[in-house]
Amino acid sequence: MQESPFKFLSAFEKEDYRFFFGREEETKALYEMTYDTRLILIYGASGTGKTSLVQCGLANQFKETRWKEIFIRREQNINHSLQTILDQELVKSGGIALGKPEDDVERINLIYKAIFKPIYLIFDQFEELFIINPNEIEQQRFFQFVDGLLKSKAAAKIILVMREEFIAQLSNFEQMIPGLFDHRFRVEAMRYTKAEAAIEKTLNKLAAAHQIEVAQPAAIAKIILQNLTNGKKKLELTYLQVYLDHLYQEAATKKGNTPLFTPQLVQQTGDFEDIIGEFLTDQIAEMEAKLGPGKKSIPIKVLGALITDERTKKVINEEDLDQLCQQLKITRKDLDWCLQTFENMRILKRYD
Amino acid sequence: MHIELAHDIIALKVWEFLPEQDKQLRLIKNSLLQRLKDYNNGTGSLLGEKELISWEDYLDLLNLNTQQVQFIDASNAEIAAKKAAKKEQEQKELRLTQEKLKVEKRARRRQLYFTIGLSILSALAIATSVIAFNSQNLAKQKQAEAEKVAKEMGKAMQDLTQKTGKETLGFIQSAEQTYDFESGYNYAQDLKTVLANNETRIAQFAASNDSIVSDFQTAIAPLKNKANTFLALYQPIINSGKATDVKTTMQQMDGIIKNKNFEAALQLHREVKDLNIAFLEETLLKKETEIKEKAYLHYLYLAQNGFNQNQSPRAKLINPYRWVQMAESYNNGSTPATMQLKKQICEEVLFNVGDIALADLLTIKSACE
Repeated sequence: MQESPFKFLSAFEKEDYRFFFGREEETKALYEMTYDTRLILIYGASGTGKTSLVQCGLANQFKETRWKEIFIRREQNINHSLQTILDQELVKSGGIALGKPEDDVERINLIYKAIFKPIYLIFDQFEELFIINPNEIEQQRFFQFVDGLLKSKAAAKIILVMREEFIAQLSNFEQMIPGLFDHRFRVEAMRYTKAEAAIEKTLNKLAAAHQIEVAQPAAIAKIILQNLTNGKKKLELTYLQVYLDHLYQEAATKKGNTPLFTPQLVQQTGDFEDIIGEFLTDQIAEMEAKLGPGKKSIPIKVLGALITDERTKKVINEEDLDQLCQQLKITRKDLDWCLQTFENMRILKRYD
Repeated sequence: MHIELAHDIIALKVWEFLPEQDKQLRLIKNSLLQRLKDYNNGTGSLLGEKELISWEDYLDLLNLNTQQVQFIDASNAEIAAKKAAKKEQEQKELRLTQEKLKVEKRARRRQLYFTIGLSILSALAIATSVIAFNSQNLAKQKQAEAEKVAKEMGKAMQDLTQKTGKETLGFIQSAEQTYDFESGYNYAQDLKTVLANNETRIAQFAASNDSIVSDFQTAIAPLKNKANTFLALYQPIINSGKATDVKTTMQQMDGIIKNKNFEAALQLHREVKDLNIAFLEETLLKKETEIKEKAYLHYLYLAQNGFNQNQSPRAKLINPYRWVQMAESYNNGSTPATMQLKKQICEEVLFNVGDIALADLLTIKSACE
């Protein structure tokens, strides 16, 4: 079976531009904002597509020579992560040969000198700085870096991407960075009409690329939205991608080489009141059956270790897995198996 | 290599799937770590009792390290110390309250004693003075008042058999309070009667643990004794039928004094004194002093006026020497004020004395010395 062309739970990336629809206005507005300031704050509710808007929408607005994105996640310490990534970029770009930097601003300058592209430092999931073991010293140091960068002539801009419910945490640093809220961009849930058009365009585009076959895409879009929004006018994009993926899996089980999307298929699939919840329940039940009695609680324990008490995802390092086994009182073999299974299910990802 | 969930939406769902105990453990552990961190930074306090109670069932499952266990132990110790201090404070306050109540009770009792005592003593004292000194009209007025109070007493006694304890007691107390300073002997007798009649009733209230009745009973005990003593003394006089005579005589005595007939007043005084009424001794002694004092001053003034041409033309005709002699006959070791007046008058007499026999002059001089 072919790999699903739908994003499922992943964000759109730069190369997904052909299938990235419904955010044209937001992309343009955000792009224009980059000319007005060196510091942009992007915020919105979970599942509204903030990361996709930056990674795919914004990234594709720039010519290759005008865009060098560096994505930074906090992990254990945002300042350490920033330095590590900048050091890696220094090596990659050859900037390391141009000087011996003493701080992050100098590192950025050297990278710029090596590649001659404006650098966009994109701090995704920025709320992690405030919700996972928050450390005031770490926060202070980071905003000192922001202040230093903005005061320097470095050809670099900063984009902070975070969930809107944590935005108030930033007010503590407004005194240090007076323009912190001046250029903020709220990503809202996609409107019904836009979503309808986006679904139709996506299906047509995939059909043109021979990844699926589609009959009556406009009708399909309508039924999908009815099933997903249940009368509401807003759509959570993550649910849409999961639903489309689910349709793809259903269609792929039918006869024929290319999965066929029809209104009947969507009607048969019906509405998912809790599409992700049901998906997880099914997958976990399957895993528990494979693990056998006595180990039934392991999958949910492992998933539990990957979330914060604020119900957000949490990064763990590969080298901490032994310690995690002790903490969860499970074997490394079972842990590795669970992680691999979750990764195969695409609800978990690994990255360097 | 880093590992994380593909989306926060999964995190939200996973949280829903977690067993309730796991959620609690996570939240407690996080809270504990934060509180410990704040405490170590000097920005937080030890754990409170409510937290520890709500965490109690989970603490053993948290795999706490030594520092965390010490933090909990220190919190428990502080709570125990606070409880002990609070208990001590409560006991102290309880003691203070009890003492205050005792003081208030004593004060109430004293007030009750005072009120009743004052009423009865007033009744007793005034009864005596009324017998001795009041005029006929006053006696009539007293009689009317006595009847009024007697009525109230009667009502109280009647009510006592019909009403409940405290209510009836109120009537008795009201009636008692009518024994003011104008009351007479009969009131004391009435009071004694009321007390005697109600004794059983009061005792019943006391037995039913009515604290006010108990206080009342305690308060009236010494006063009852005084009333009894008084009545025991006066009863023979009443029985002999002389009581009315005494009363009348004492009233006449006052009228005679007003008319400056001091010798007659002293005669009546002697008549009453001869009755040998023990409790009237002091009263009679005072009365005698009063008569003599008034007589002495009266005659001295007359003597003075005798030499004062301007004040009393009639006095010019009177031999001042006689008046000095008369005054001297009532001399009863007077007060400093009268002595001063006497000296002044004598000087005037000696200064103004005119054609007078030497023997008379010497008599006057002797009287003035």
